[in-house]
Amino acid sequence: MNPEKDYTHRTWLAAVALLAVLGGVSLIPPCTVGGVALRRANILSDLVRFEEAAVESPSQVVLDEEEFRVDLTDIAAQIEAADTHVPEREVRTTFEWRAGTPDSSLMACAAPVPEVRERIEAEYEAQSVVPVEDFDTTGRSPLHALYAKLLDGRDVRIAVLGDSFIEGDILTADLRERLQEHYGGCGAGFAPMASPLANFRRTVKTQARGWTPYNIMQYKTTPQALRDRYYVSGWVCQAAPGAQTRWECSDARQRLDPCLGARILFVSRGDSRAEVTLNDTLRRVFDIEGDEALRQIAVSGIPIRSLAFRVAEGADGFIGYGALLEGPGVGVDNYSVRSNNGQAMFRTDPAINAQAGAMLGYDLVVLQYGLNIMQQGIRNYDNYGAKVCRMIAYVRECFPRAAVLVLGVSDRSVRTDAGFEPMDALPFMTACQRAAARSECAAFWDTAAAMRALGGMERFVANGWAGKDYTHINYGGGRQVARALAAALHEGVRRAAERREFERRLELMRMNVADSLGERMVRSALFTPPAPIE
Amino acid sequence: MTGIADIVDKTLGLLSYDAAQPLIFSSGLFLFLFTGFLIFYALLRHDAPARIAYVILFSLYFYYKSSGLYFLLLVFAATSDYWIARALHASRRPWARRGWVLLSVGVNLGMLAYFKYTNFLIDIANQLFGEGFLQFRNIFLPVGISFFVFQSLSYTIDIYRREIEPLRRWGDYLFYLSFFPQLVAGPIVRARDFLPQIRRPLTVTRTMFGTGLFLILTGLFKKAVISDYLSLNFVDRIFDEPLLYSGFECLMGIYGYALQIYCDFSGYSDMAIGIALLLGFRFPKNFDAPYKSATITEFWRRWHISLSSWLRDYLYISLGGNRRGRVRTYFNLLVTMLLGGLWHGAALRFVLWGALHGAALALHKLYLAAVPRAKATGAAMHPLWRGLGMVFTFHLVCFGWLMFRAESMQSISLMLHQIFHDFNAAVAPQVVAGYSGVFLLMGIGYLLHMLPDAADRTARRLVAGAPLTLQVLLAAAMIWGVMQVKSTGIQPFIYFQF
Repeated sequence: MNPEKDYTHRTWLAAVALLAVLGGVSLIPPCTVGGVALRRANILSDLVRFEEAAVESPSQVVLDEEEFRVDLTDIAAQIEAADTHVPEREVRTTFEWRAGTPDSSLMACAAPVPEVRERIEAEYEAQSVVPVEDFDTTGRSPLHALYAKLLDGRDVRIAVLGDSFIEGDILTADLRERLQEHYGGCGAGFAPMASPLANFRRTVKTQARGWTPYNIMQYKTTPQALRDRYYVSGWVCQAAPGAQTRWECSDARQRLDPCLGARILFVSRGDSRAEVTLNDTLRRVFDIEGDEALRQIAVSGIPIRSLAFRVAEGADGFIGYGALLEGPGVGVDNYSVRSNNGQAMFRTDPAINAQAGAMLGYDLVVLQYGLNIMQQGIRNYDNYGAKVCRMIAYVRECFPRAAVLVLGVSDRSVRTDAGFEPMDALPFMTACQRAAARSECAAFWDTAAAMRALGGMERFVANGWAGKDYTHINYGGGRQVARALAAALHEGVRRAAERREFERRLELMRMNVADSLGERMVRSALFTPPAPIE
Repeated sequence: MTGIADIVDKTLGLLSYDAAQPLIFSSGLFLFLFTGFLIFYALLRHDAPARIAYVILFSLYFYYKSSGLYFLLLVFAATSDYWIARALHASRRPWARRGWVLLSVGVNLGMLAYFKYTNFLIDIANQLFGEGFLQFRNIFLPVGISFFVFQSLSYTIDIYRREIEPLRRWGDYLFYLSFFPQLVAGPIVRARDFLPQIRRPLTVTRTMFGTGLFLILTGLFKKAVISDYLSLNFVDRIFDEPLLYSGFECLMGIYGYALQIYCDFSGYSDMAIGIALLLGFRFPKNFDAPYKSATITEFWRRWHISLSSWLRDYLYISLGGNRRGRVRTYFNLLVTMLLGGLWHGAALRFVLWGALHGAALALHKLYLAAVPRAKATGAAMHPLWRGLGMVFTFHLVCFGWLMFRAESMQSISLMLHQIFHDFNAAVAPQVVAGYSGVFLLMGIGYLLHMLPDAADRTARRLVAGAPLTLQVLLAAAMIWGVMQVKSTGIQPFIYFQF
């Protein structure tokens, strides 16, 4: 071997040989070696695609059945027991504080602005709408009741239960803003008493001290005394003496600052004293008798920019849930729990949920789950579909007046040898969720279809609307999806208006016909010659 | 399978300019084009003019693939400095020579300022005089402009300093400026190092071939496996939304980014140096295990060496270097690093990053002057001090990377808030388990980085000495591994737009 010999030819020989080897390797189909799945390494993937045989995968997605275990009969019994429970003494569950007298100028804060409303409707006209599919054919669909309330400008309350996809008020911040601008309303909705993720949320600033928050996903490590007191928010906060939280309205979206009302939700097992401060100036103390029931302090009457709550006495047995910042009109509450596929709701206290439902009066509960369940290569989600049916039934037990809307999984891309492509499991999961909604006569909205109408996950990532995991949207992406969902709800309202107009005309026609028939009868009675008396 | 017509259409599409799909070394397309290029390159090895013309054409195509018609800008830069250099060399009067070199600096920095800093300056003007004072311009940033402008400046300034003679052929200068291995992301090869190699008889020794292959494979591993995987699967998401993560994750995100940016940049540099070796050209080393540095001064002798030495020779020394007193020396250091920061990107955070390094270098110089026993580099230190120095320097550099990577000042403060107020070390085992692939690669990356130089030399010697068949199989195995880990859609190279 001569070290100074010229090896220039070796370079291209090596390159050609390398291409030949890689060309041969391209022919090796996907396989599994030692439990590791190996993809086809196709050096020509930009030009030539191979039709891959379906990779052997589990026939159904694997679920932890224990996590999803729920006895719906028992849930109904628990709610009924709480409803029919007669306490030894009368328990006051609502503490009202009217800090001022609401006047018309105050209410104007929550009213829709006609110009804004027109602009939003013009935007809806210009976009293609993925409609909400309502499978309730009884004619008494609670979704129709929701549309009617929106049409009449009445108060509407929506709860969105989901996973990390909506964490930090992603999607719900813009859904709320859109609906409030269109139909009226103000306030950021539910904000937990304390949460490690509080800083991430832009729509309300939360400063908490003296609380120990527990997350429902760590259900097994939650202290026994708190374990069965979870609310659908997924958090319980145990108070230490002097525990306090201050919520401050934010200007991250329209109509958040100020809000016109607030409620603080808690359970005080023993006697306690709580202090509420409004706008850092007005203060009021509430003496609370101990009981297991859910309580609320409801504040109204003045524009609220900040709200502070302090457990002055009786912290033992005091459980804080959070506050709802609201106003007349539409309210949207974000109840997101990271890594939750919907199973966490089965670990919540149905009685607490039902009491909250009675206090807050939810008209619509949106279920946004399934993203973490979906797996590339798995096409059968029937077992998860059965769990979705149970989630719908559970929600109906806890919030009987509310319509249930199942959101289909969002668009999601995975890497293949040809770049990013939609996950192959997506249409199957969507179909399973749609089928679950259909079988339970609930409603369904195809999130992935709405995202694809906006260009799909690849465009979301390219536009900075989604993370580079090609799974999670951010606030920018949330705005796009929220506007599509708001457009879909508005389409329902528009149809409700058309139906109402049709019914009004029909009624008018009926009355005209009845009037004309009545007139004819009178005429015939007056002018018909009497029959001869025989 | 796909039809022939479809394949032809796709091929034509692949070969056309696409800003979203620049031609980078870790792409499959480059492997095919480079193989075709090599065959004729070897055939033309004894015909220097034809070989030079051939390489220029390939290089211009390489640039066209990333920047479209802006390859003409490259031709313009080469033509301008070629003639300025000749006029400069021909001038005898000092003022005329100074005028010519200033013209070269003006043309080059003018191009750089227009393409890279116009909107940055408009933004500053709008902040000073109110929104809408000036309208933003839609200006395309030609790929690698910062690199070839600096290379070209090294040529005219060296001629001004009478360190080299001007070239006699325009084609040779265009060859130097457009040479594709270092064109878009460096290293910044000085004219004085490169020009003598252009017309030298072409020889690729066995060692050059083996070393080139070794550098390409290690560069590929660093860029396409470690850097891309960390970026996509961990680092980006943390920097995008720090408040969604604990302080521990944020800190790991910064450590991850430190490794990502090193692997990305040094990996690409290694591939460039390796490809140049296969073509018979030797480039100087650009990275030398920078996180082994025990002081910030040592870091800048190991990190992006071609840039730091360029800044030293053409900016710091031009400002007076250390010849005008201690205070002026510190000032020069600060200015050099501030401008070095601005070179990396048109944003305030890059200026702050430069300022941090400038201040750290000045302070270290002050410390060295005040403490005579202090050493400038780790090699001369006691092992304990060296270890402590490495930890301290690494964290100082990481703090700089935080400024470098964060999208805004708010993002920097959020990351620091999480680290110092919400560290939550208890989640560490879950995070490590949840991101096992990420932490495994981070571990491998840092371990390989910290291996002694002897290990690197041994591996290099083994690859270089292996028979051709084994070398080909090794390359195929590496590429196969890369394809398993990543998709064919290549993430844009971080330093492309710098």
